Amino acid sequence: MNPSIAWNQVRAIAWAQWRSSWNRLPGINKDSAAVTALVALLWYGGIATLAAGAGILMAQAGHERFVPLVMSPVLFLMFVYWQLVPVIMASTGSALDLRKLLVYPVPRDALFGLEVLLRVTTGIEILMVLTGAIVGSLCNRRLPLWSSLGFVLFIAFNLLLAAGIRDLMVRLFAKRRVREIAMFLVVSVAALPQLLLITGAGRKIRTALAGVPTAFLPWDATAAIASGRAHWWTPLVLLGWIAAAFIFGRIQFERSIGAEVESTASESATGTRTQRFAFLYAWPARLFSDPLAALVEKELRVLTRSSRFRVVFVMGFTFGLLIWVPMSLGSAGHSDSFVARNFLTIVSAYAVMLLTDLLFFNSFGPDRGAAQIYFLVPARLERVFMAKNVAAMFFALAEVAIITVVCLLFRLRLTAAMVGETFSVCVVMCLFLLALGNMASVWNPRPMNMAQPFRTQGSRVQWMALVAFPVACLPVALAYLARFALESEADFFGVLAFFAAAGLYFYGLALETAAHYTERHRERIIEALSRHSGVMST
Amino acid sequence: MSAAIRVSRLRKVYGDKAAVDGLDLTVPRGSFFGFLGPNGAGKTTTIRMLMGLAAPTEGSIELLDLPMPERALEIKGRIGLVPDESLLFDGLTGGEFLEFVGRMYKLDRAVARERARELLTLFELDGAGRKLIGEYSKGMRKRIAMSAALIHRPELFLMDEPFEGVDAVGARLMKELLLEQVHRGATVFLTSHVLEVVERLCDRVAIINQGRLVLQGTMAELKSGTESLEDMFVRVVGAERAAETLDWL
Repeated sequence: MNPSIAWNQVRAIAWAQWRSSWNRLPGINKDSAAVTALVALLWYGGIATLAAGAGILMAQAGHERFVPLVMSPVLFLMFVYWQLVPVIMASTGSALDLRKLLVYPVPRDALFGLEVLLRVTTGIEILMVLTGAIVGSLCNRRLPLWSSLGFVLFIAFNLLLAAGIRDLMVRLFAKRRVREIAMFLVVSVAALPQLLLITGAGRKIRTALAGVPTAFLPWDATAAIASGRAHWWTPLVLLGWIAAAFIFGRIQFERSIGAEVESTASESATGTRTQRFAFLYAWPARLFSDPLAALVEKELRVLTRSSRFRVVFVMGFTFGLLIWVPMSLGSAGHSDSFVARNFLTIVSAYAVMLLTDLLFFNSFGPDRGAAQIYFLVPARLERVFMAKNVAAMFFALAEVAIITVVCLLFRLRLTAAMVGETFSVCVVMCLFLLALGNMASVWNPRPMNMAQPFRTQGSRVQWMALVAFPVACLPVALAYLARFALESEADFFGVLAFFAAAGLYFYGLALETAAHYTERHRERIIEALSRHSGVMST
Repeated sequence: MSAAIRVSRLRKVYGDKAAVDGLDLTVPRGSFFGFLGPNGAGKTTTIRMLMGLAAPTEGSIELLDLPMPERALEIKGRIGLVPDESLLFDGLTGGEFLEFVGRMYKLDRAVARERARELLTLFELDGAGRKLIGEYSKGMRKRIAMSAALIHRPELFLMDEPFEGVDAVGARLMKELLLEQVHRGATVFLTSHVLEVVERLCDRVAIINQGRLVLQGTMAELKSGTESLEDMFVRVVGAERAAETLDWL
């Protein structure tokens, strides 16, 4: 196909996405947009400061000797942030909705090119810092002009590799059974540095690899070029990595297209569902009467069947256990630090945090357009919120229970008091999260595609959840402060009980407020939840 | 005359555009009422206001002699809905969704389950009863939405394009079921672009254009001589014009 036609198509896709985003603006809640803008300003302001720092460092004449020493590990950390963090956060950034685009005669090269460029969305922070470094190195007269090219090649390598990893992860996590194995592997890889550090194996490996040359590694090669001390073959090493990343990315992209075509073709021919979790769905009817019971049961069914919820739920306890427990207990497993004494609470709080944006802060998101049924059936909106809250609390406490059982199985030092304390702390945290989340859910409702195991766009919901989580933890932190200051268990539980009561009161108020707000703004909420994204998936 | 729907001076404004502009409408109980209009005339907005999904800017709505939204919960319990957009939870199976809806309408769980099973059989969805709704075809989704509207045996049906995307067999079944409901005393209020269907089923019709009611009456009153409903519709909404062709087409 003529390259200009392909270029026009790429522009058309970009334009369609831009228009889809633009057209949503009138429906956006201005207050929530302001909060998002403020949080983004703080975060990206910090990153911009880092970028300026990198620029100043690179621009300083005389720092060339120092720069290569720190640059290689820093570039390695940047590489890890760009490639691994999106996977462990179950968020893969913006991506093309191939299902919508494959029907058009768009060349695959153009789609692949766009997909690669979209990987910027998961590494925008790294890109900002590297841009600062590029500008700095261009300003440094003692560095050759070509030295900044190292950073450009490093960016290209990361973009291509990130595209391949994203396609591979999304495909693996979309397959039943394979998903569980993939998740275990991802968790193990993510926890590996931590485990190496704790067990001391890292030191042994480092000693064993001491003589092995590292100049062929992409971050070392980049650092060598950027400091102007590269051999003639160093750029070739980096180009080799780029070629490998391109081949990997392209193969994964083609396989994703193949999988997409296959899934579209067999969409109506998939098999029936077994009642695997039937026991999970029975308890609401025993505890509550309809319509609350029916609503809770519906939440349990829908959530346990969705790929996204399963991924986040399993990540909650696996990451928590693999990352926090070794850190909490130290290499000997008997550290007496605050973290070691409260590892069960810390791991559980971390698991609850992972569930925050999915279960608490956008509770109508999984329903999407179907949320309008709540306005049509003869049930009070308060009941609908309560049902969602009961399900959220159930899953949060299920995380705590699973973590406790695993800790007991591994004979970790646990007492009944620790378990009781963890459950109490999580309940208090959840009360505040539910109160804040109910209001956030109607204040900023966003449709979520629960069939996709990963979030494909960083959302305002995530930002809000990240900001609100420490707020919800504050009462618990005050209880721990009371224990520390007064050295009294009674005071700890007294403060916790006080905040539990305050949390209940706050929850009641928030429930009423959210229900009233929903009633008044039902059109905007339904419209926001029924909205379809443009050419990118959500 | 007892009215299933009574709407007075209903108005809905979006920005500076009135989607519905001073609508007065009365739908007698036990009637099969066709609510027609060209695209963008305000049909869906009207039906969304009747369902309580959109608040009117002005005017009043009474359904089954009860004011909306003051007695919303009571009204909702007595109406069956097939909206234009899907109300379906993709993560539930057809059977589970019907049971869920039944329970939302305060049916006993066992009754809801039994009726769900019977409706799945009636709509020939029993084979797909354990398949997730997300995997349903468009026609199957419409059938399950129709089943959900029937499960609590409502007195009033509000339906936006209920036959859209449904095959001939399914559409025939749905029409027969709706006629049966009208015979037992229920009221059906539907929008449809398929005028032949409206002509065959409805005993009363109203036509809306640019947010205003342009015609209302019984089918017998409205049809004069040999003029079909389609001819009358085209004449009333002022869309009668010779087909133009495009040079490049």
